Amino acid sequence: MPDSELKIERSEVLRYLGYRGQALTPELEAQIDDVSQMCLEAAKPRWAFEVFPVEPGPALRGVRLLGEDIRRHLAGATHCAVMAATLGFEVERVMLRLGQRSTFSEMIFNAACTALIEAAADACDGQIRDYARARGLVTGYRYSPGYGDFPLEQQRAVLGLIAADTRLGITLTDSLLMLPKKSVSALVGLYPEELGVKRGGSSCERCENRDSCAFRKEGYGCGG
Amino acid sequence: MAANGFTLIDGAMGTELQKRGLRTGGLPELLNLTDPDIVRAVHRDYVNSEVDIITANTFGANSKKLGSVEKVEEVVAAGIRLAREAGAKNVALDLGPTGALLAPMGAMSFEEAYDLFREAVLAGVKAGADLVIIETMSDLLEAKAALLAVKENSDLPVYITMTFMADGRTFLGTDPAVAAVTLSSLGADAVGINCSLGPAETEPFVREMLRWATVPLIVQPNAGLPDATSGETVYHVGPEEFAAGLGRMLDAGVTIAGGCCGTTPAHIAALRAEMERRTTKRPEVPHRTVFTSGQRLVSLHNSIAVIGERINPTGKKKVKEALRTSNFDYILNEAISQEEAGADLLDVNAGLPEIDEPAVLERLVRALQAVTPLPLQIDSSDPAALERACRAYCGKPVINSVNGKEESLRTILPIAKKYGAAVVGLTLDENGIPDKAEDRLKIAEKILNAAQAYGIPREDVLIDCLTLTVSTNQALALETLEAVELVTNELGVKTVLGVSNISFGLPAREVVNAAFLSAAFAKGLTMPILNPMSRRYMDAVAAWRVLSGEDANSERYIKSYVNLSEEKIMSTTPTEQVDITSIVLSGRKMLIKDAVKAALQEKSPMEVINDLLIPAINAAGDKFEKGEFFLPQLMASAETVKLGFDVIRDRAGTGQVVSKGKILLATVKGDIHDIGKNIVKMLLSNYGYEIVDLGRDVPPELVVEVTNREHIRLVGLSALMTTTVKAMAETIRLLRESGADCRVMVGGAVLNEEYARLVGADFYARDAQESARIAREVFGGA
Repeated sequence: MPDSELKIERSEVLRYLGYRGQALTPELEAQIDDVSQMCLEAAKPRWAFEVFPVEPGPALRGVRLLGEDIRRHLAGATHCAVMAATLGFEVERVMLRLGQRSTFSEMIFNAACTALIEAAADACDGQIRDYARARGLVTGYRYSPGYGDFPLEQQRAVLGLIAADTRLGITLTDSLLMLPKKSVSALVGLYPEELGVKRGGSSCERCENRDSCAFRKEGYGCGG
Repeated sequence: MAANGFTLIDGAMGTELQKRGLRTGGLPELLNLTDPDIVRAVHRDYVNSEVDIITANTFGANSKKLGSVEKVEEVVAAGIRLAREAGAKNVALDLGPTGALLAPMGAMSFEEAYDLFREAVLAGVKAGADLVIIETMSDLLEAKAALLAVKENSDLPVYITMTFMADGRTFLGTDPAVAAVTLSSLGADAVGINCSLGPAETEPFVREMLRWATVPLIVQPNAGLPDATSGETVYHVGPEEFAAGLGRMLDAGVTIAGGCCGTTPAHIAALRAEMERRTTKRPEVPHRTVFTSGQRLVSLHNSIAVIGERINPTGKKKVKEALRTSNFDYILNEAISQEEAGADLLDVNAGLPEIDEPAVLERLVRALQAVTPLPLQIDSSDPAALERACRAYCGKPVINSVNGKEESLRTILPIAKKYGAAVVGLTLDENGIPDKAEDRLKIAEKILNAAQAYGIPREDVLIDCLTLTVSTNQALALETLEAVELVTNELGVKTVLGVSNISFGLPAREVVNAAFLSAAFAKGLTMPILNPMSRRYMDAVAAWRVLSGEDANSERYIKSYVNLSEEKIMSTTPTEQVDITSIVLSGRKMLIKDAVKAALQEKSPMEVINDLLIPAINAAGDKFEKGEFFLPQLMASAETVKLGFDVIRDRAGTGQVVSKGKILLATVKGDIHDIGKNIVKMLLSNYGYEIVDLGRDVPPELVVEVTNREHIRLVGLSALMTTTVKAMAETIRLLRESGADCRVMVGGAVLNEEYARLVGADFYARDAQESARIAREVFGGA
């Protein structure tokens, strides 16, 4: 589950920092690399997924999934994986501390964390794909509470399906923020191959709000 | 209770419910009401495995999850009754985590968590529970809230377990040693480990706990570690393997055991057989002087520890200012600096006559614990302040201090006992500080005896023999050293000593202080209180660690000092002269201070600000607006300018630097994503505005109160989530209602012009640079 092989690409960090080809000094590049290294040292990327048969509704182990969009998304899926990934709390401690010293470093650290949690979610996604392939199925892309008309209020039930609290330490605030903040939850449909479901890379890359997304601008990601 | 002195507890409830076809989607505690027969049947199976304790099905029975206190009472009463009806010898009220995370990582307050646990405990007492088991805790502070709730609202025995990941830490970063020390000192009747791991993975952590716990050990592992990537949750360890694994821990000294996820009545019956075949072995209870925070343990076993003295208002203008305004940034930076300089603990003193010390000290302790893992020494003469700070503290702190006066002993020692704190005893009493070392020893002995009478273990009493000024009474320096030696040898307790006082009134004080420090080490001093930023003192500390053998093979010393001569050469290299704008634009923080100092020789502070620093930051802002800079470059420039401002403030005093206006910033209630707000704060403060930063998760009422009290004309609010934008709208509504004469700007990921208008804001700040433009519009000027 945890994977020390995850990397933080400088180009990804720059992307989350809103970089648009400005001239970079060697100092700035070195600072980004140093802070990314700090992030790798503090982070404890971990994830878990569990695969459920899709019940009519659609529902997963009795949890009815609400909204047209998720229904359409899972149409034809025989199974659905519920996944969650997180970097743990230590990165948040380091970020609080860095912020005390330098907002500049805090900001770069935040972007490095976003790049890393995306990498962790992709790694989990990859394991789900392997699981599916072994059963002659293909996977769709990650879909999370809060996308389209799939209500954010279902976040608690979705995380509950895989006991993300006791297994990964992910909890929700009353306002439905995931803690640790650098966490991702998603549903991944498993479809019979003949349906011809297409999948791409991370969910951001396929999202229609990709270019205007302010979450990405702030270096958070929307949790998908 | 049980076989050969062991206590046997039952195993999993959830696994057994699933076997009986129950879905675990909802709250399993509600089954006490909806499916009592099934819950009772599970208990009965465990009773048949001859357990001593049945854990009632009350894990999540709190009013946050269940909706009301009445429901909690109902669910707890049914849960206890069902266990009783199944024939349980003893029934435990089971308390799991609240499900919400405490501050600073989360949004729940310590008091809220305490209240949730208190409600469940009162319900348990009413229902006739025989004991309480607090389990599956990840957060040491939440564990403390639960433990205090039990101890303050019942007389029931209480066992407490935390859950660790394979790397030996809880999700919040606490290790088994820290958990064992902290929870033992807080008065748990047993401490230990449950859930997450199987017996094999749990064993090394249990052995670690046995080294530190002063109370019996409890273990309830899972039936193995489920493979998180297999797509399903399956526990693979069968009854025999489970029991054999626990058998090894019983041999090591564990006396209370049961099972967690995936274990069955068969697992527990097998464990019973292992207990019957053995007798309990309680290992020697360790007597070590230890302090903890949530993530750090400091032991004085063959070791000295440096206490950083900088967080104290005495003679420090900036600390005073920070305490008065509760803007702790300066203090938090001092804490980090002391940690980086090598402090092992930090003394925290908020003693100013004009402030509400108990409230401020409590807040300060919480704020410090969010940024430093060092254990704290809580320093006050006010028992109310000590109690509140100890209660808020995550870990086992040191209290500084008690003394030989009856009044002091009577008020301070019970606090140390209740919160499991170590306590510093000053060798003074109603007659002041005795001159003679022998008389100071007598007071130390009196304090030690009194502490032990309150149930505080000997190793948790530290004695401060008190340093007096050598220039006014030369003979007393040696008396203090003599007293350190006497206390160390005669009483066998550890000593604390502040060294700085010794040189008061002398030139080059560090020279005398360092010599005194080394002499005190030789007499047995274990915890000097000093300024760790002083190289001379830390040199003496490093050297003593070599001489005393603490620094084995001088490894640490060699690592730190091998390049010393080289460093000195480097620091004398002259810095190049560059103009301020180019320093700021390139973000070269190393150069700005010297450049500003040089400029101050020719210009007045105001000229340096208006002619050099402001144009420089404006140049950076222009580049950002033209897209030649991206945000990190703008921030690097802003931070460079800030260092320049700091030089001027230090030189001229704060009064000289005129504020362009006061701006309040807050991340709204329910939201803790505050990086955007922090960026705005950084930038605005560099344009010369005074920022009142209320932090994150800020209640609307507080924004209104401060805005009106401080006559603030511009309020900036941030929110990241659609769910928290509601709190933003509410804050603005209350601001308007209060009649506050202010404009409001808002920012955050989900906001835009239209949404900003919708929540009632005057301005939408797309980015930090825009907020500076808005501030100019509101306050006028350049």
